Amino acid sequence: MSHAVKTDNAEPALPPKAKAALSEGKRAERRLGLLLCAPAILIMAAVAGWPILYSLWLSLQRYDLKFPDRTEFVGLENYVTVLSNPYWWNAMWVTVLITVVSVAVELVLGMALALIMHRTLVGRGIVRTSTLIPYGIVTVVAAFSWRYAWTPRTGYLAETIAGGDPVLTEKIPAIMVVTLAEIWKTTPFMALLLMAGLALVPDDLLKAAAMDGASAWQRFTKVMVPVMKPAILVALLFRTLDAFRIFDNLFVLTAGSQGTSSVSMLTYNNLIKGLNLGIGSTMSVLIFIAVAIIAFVFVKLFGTAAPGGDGGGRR
Amino acid sequence: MAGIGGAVTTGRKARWTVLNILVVAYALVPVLWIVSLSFKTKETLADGNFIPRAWTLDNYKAIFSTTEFVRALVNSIGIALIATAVAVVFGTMAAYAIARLDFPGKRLLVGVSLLIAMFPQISLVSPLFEIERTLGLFDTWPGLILPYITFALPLAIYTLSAFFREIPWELEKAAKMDGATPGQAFRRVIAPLAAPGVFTTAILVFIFCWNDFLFAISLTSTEASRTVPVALSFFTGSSQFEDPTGSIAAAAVVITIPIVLFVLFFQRRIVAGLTSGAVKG
Amino acid sequence: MAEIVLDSVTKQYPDGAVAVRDVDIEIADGEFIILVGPSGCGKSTTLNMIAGLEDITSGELRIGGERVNERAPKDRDIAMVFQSYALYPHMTVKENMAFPLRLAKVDDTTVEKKVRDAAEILDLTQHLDRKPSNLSGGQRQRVAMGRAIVRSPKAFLMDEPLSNLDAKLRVQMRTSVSRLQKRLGTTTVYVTHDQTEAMTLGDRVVVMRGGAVQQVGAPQFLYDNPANLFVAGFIGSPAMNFVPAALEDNVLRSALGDVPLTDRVRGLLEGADAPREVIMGLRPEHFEDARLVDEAVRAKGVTFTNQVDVLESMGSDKFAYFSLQGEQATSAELAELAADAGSADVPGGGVSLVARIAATSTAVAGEPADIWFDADKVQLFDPGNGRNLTYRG
Repeated sequence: MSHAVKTDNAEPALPPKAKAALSEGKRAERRLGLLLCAPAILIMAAVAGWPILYSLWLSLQRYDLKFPDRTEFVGLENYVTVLSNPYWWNAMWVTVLITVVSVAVELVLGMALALIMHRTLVGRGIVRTSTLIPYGIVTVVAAFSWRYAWTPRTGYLAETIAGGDPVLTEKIPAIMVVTLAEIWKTTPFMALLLMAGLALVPDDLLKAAAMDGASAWQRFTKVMVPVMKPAILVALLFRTLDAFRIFDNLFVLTAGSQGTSSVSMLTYNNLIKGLNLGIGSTMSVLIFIAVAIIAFVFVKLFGTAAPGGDGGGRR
Repeated sequence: MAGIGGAVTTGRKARWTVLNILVVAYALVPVLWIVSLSFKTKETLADGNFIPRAWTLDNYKAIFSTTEFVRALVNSIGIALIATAVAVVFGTMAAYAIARLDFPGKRLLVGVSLLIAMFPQISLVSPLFEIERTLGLFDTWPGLILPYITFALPLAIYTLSAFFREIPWELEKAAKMDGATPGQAFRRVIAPLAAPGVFTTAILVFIFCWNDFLFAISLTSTEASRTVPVALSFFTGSSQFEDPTGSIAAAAVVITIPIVLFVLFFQRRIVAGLTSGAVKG
Repeated sequence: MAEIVLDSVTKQYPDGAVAVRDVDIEIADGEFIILVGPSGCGKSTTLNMIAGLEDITSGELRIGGERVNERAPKDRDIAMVFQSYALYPHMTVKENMAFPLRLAKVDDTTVEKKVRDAAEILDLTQHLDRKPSNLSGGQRQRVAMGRAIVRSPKAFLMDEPLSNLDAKLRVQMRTSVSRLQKRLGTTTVYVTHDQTEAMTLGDRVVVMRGGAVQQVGAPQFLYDNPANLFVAGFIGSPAMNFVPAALEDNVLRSALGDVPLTDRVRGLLEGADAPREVIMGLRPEHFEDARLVDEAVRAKGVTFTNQVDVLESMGSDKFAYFSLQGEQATSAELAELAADAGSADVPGGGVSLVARIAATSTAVAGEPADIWFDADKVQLFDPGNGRNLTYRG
């Protein structure tokens, strides 16, 4: 049967010049495509592309707005300054800690929430509507709610759980509260992405597994999780990158005091408060690199399942 | 995980009800807390009670009598609406092209916009701070609208192209066979079908712009363009010794209202919008 | 109305894959022509090239004598009916049918009249204000037809327009499509993978395989005189039976016994340069229960005895299935046909045969039966290139 699939496709290709003749319709399509994308491309290039290059340039300068006349090109000096600075490394570890803990907890909590939203027998609409509130609410508003909840005397949590201690003034408890706030706000988003994955698991597959003697837990780990793995990875990637840039919650809850700064917070302080554009830009570039590394690792894990990898729905 | 198949027993229903109540409580308690704070009187503000002992509207009256808050609210609404409109229009155009047309550089565009979506915003703040100061955009509406559009565009393009892919491709061919130009096929066939998706995207983009804090606090310096989230963090109360908690809570509740309305009325659409891209993976 | 000419039309994708190769078809004005073949044979690509939805890589397409390769679909004045019907879900039936006219900036009264007329022909008048989602499959199909006919185009292109209907409705719609085409007399190109539609609908049938035209001709001619193994196996249901045979002087040695070469067969074989090993093709209806064939006729054929595996009674006649010992006929064409039918990896060695025998046959499943076939109806094929050695061109 080796010659079974012999088709004409195996024959030598036609000379390439043949395809040079694009019909009018095809050319119109290309023109329209580029035309429609032009505004989006221009804005993204001007407001994201150009500034990124510019910040690379700034990061190689000594540039402090408090001493503008001492501006000069210093090469990698800023990078040496930042990378040998304990505050930077502290901020990095705080950021990593918050990211890892919040994403890990969110994965578990989000999965539970997704299962509830997906399978609940009653009140599906109410559950979905209320879980969207944390997603939609302004982060600063939520952060204030948590701040007042943990404020001694004012807050319901401070009095009941913390026993009246000012938790936000100590490093580790403060980081825990920040992480908690982050988890509360973004678990619904994680759950929605996971729910999209759950919808892809065919009911028949679960029935078949049940007939094959799989327990509920086995059906979850052996059938559901493998099938929804791409959705899980997408959710993890989105949330990891998002958690890594944590800023709003920290700003409101601790303002970065007691060594609770994240890298974004530290950069902001150097830049807007310290007006040191050189150092600020250097930190920006370093954060960008860190995010790129995270994304790269995830994309390696994804393989072909990377979002946007489907290259358009034609044909 | 409930068992599969079988009759819906009252016991199982009860179990789900308990789980659902837990979920609803999880989602609503922090929101109700800030609502409760906003209605507390000055005297009971620091009593730590979840439900106000004495109710008052003073906090709301107070914030609406300050230009600080009213101006910020106008800024927030104006900036978010303009940024949403522009991002959705441009995003629709680009997403249509990506989902439906064949042109060089398409994959690159998708890749780059995805990159921007995952971008640490702080990395843009430092160069934008400098660039906007030079161009005179610092502390103006356009100075915030531009970065909002930029970060909203990938979200819009991603969500919309997922919606556009669900529109049956043959319809456009059919329109062409019926004598439509590509432009007419877009306006008369695809656009009406895409309207729900565009609307959903607009909600998501608006929530994004409404929510932003980092750009708003970095690229503004006065009431001229400060948005509510930033104004909140600068609230000090009418006198230096006054506790701003009540005002902050009231202002927080005010800017939460549009979100709650969206969620109440468009729950289905928002869920569909948020999950449409993820399913593609 | 116009004739459509495909002059060595080729479609090659940028990645080098050739979807359609050197297709030459001349479609006369008013003709109903069917493009048929298994999936991936290039029939839909060919249709899309005629429509202008895909570019022609090389060759020329002429409609009404004019080269239209570079024209956009809207400038070709042809209408198309899609497999999914492609009805605009946001428009009513009326708006759907009026859409091509509106785009052509036809005035309101004419639009109204034309839509009314088309709706009447297709029996859609009472549904004009409904949305497609509220229509049944058959009604949607008719709306799609209506949208095609309102503007009286030069030609209709139909891409498997009936394949989304259930079996009964499909047969019904088949006749109405045929009637409509006769009534309007518009040149029609109809793509299908269903050989029954191909046989029943068209004036002529174009059988395609792997991007190339295999044979063009009237349905009955194709059935009686397939140019090669592929056409022989594709046209006809149940399909032609294929049995390997060895050609010796005046006799064919096969698992069905020795088959004498009749004068007709010998005459056709002459000059055909036949190899020794051939594939013998037998239509199911050329078999009969030997007990029902009288002596004189019996002498003109071959009788063999084999166990009946399955017997299907169709009422008007019976289908008897056999398995013969021995080698299965192999060739690229047959492998492709089997793959298309999804039977490529159905287990079971040996040769399977289907015989269509009279309803009065007393054959019983599981028991041996004497089966006769007409030696004069045998077709012989070259296993190397699939060519019909007994082709009467």
